[in-house]
Amino acid sequence: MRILCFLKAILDPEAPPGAIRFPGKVESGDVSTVLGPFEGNALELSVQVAEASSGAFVAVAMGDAAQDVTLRKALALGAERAVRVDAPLGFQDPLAVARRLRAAAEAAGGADLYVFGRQAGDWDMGVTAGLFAGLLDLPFVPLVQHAEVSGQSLRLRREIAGGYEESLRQTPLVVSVTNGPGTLMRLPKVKDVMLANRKPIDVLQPVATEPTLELQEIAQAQVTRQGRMITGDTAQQAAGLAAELRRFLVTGGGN
Amino acid sequence: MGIPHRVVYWNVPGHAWMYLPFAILVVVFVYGVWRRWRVWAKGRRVPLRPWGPRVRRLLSHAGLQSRVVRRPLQGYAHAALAVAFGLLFIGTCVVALKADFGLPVMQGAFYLWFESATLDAAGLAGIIALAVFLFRRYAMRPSALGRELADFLVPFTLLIILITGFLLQSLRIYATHDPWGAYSFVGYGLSALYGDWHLSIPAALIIHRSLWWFHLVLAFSFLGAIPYSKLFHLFMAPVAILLSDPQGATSLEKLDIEQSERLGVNMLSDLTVKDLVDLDACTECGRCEEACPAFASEKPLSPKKLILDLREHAHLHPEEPLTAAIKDETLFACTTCRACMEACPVDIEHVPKIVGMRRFRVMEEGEMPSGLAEAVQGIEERGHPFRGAQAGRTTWMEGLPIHEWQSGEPCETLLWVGCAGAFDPRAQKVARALAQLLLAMGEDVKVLGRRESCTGDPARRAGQEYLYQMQAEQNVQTLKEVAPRRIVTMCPHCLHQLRDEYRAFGADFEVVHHSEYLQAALVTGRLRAAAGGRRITYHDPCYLGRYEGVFAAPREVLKAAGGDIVEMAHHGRDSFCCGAGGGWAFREEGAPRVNRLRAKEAVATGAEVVATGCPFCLSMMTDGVKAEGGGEVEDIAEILWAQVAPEVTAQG
Ligand code: SF4
Ligand code: SF4
Repeated sequence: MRILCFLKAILDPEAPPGAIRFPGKVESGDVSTVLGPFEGNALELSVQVAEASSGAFVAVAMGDAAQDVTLRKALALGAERAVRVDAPLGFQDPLAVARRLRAAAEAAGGADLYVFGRQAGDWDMGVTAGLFAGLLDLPFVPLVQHAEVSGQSLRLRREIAGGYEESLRQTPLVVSVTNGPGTLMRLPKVKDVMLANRKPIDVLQPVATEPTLELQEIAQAQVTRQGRMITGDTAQQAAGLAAELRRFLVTGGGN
Repeated sequence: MGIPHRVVYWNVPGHAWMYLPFAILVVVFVYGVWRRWRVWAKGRRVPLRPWGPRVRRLLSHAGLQSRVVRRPLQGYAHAALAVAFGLLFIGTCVVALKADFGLPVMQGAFYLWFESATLDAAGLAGIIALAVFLFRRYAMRPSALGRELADFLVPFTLLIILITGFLLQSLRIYATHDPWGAYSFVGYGLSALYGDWHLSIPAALIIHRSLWWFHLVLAFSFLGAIPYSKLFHLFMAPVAILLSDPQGATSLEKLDIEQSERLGVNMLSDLTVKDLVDLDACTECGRCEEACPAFASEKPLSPKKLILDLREHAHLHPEEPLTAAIKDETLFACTTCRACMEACPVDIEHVPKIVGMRRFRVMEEGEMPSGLAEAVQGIEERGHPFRGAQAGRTTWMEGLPIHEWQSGEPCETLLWVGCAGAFDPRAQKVARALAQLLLAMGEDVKVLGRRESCTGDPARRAGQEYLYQMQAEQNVQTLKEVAPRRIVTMCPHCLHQLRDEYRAFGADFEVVHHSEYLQAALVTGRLRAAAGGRRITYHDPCYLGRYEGVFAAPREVLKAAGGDIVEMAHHGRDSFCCGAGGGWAFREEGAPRVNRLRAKEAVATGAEVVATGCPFCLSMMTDGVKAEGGGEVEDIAEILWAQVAPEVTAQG
């Protein structure tokens, strides 16, 4: 089976508070770019399906050279090729992203299986995979945790309340992968990491797209603590507390 | 009476037949040695120069048995047995010189005082030592000693050989009325009994002759068994000691990642000659096992069994991968505390073998226990192993007049905070206390801040040498640029890296642990502490004590802070790990936990405060001591700062 695995590196979600200042600007040089939380799951599923079907997978990412960390990981885990669509990282309109990825997929010659992580760890929209499937007019199975190859079909497993659901799907197909016991990313072998560091990454110019969504404003939640001692004897304190609570319920805590 | 002597081979006509079993013995012995040689020959050869420190170690550890006698009962018994057999061996050679080469050595004063009196004393000492061994193994029954058939046969056979030797001697003295018999005082004493029993001379002759052959065959069988049993340590222990690293193998070997055909150890040929000799040198004494925190906390690791399993594998399946013999649970259970290596009387090096095998599993096969894998990934992605940390590199020092080193600035004292000091909320307090002490000394303290990155120690101990080397290269490069006069660190793992292991990467800096630096400041009067008065017990961190040899400085600091020190059952070189090393600080550990075992010892001292000098020990001991119902756990810097701060304020 031919697989295209779409990956995205994000600004370290474990960076110390305040190190990343909005809107979308990185304040200091000590915030690393790391694999998003679900990219490892997508990668693992791609490796498994490629191995089980004696196929191959190609890793695709969009962004600047900082994206190479994910692509190198993919190469170390056996990706046949790595492609980077050279568009700036930052807020991205998911439909525009899907269109650009479709162009990249076409340039790569298409695939039997398109694999996405469940959602990017920075903007957390989780719609790109679905939009991409729509653009290609392909079936889409979200939140997959396990895939078993059976000829040109895949038996896909998803978690549902209190159990799991399995479906048999004919390829071509788009899936998004979530974390589960079977999709924990394996550790690459050091020899493969070293080889991967020497492999080229193909850079693709993005196709022009019109944005369908524009970022207007972004604001960081302000955490404020306002405490007040209610004084007096017990009865006065109880009355004071009741009044405060009433005021809080009415105004939502504002003054 | 003439010149004192005795007739060799008295009463044994046809004694020349003994060369037949002797020839068999030689063949069996040589074959046994060759079998083992085949295994050692597979090992990698590593440079051994300079020889000086190695030879000194050999004289001390093998010659004087200085490590063996750390356990006085069995230690002195062993030393006595070794000396006794050395003497008896010389005595036998003298007999051979006389019998086979006709040299007149068995006569005169030498015969009386050495061949008779001294050898009798040696034989007697040997019997007593063997009785001690048997008593310990079968009456005291320590669990670290095996009780297999071979464990019994070895001392028992030796005992029989010595006893029959005395019987032969006494029968000869009795039957020949040996005029010099009294010099062989044991045999002489026994011979006196035969008279009381009215033993007839012809009967004595027959018994003597049969016993002579029995003694001979038994002795030859025993000698022949040497290369096939743990007795072989007789020859291999001195070799293992000679080949052991004079620095105690505290620094792991730098792996040539580009050139190595295989990363880490999985075949016998990946081990060094020393590693393979170690397997044959093990005496099965079990001291390593008794010292091992992993074994004590019921993890599937015993350093003794590890060595014996490798030995068995090396001889039975020399061409098969070691993963068949040693499981991952065993490999990754080790905290790399070095207690086993410190306890081993023959300088067997367990930790390099364990880390070597981890390297293979991690780098060639991508296997690493969870928790550890995430921590190592943290080092790779953001330069520290603390997942979910809420701080930046300099959060801990907010409000203190300390700044990050700027390019081009000179640097007098660089405070290497370490990842724990920066990211672990508890250790941040230690970093603050230490920084305040340095400021009180009038130091111009600088830190690397954002440019500080994990030394890579957790990755290296976990077997991820590739990542470690990248961290090491980057840090050495940064430090060379900063060129500090000295580096002070509060983390023993960082200390060991910066001071020792980074040497292989071109580092040569003056690096001190904060305990050493603070102690010096107290001695010179740069720091003055108000009187304290609490009962304190000090937990020696493995990487500060056994790895870096710092035992006195932290105790001196505590005393200067007015502490009244009470020692735990295990302290100094014999300290017991807190359970954090080897990557365990980042893993989930099931019960019984190592830190609880250690905390029990700490609480048993009745101390109000448990002090330590390592942020990882601090965290482990805090949990353990709390669970065991003990008092406070503090770093020496915090304890000292509490006593120094009032003095600083008093001076304005
Ligand atoms: S280093 Fe420590 S934990 Fe590891 S085997 Fe030796 S004693 Fe046990
Ligand atoms: S490795 Fe050393 S301490 Fe352990 S059983 Fe063997 S000889 Fe004794």
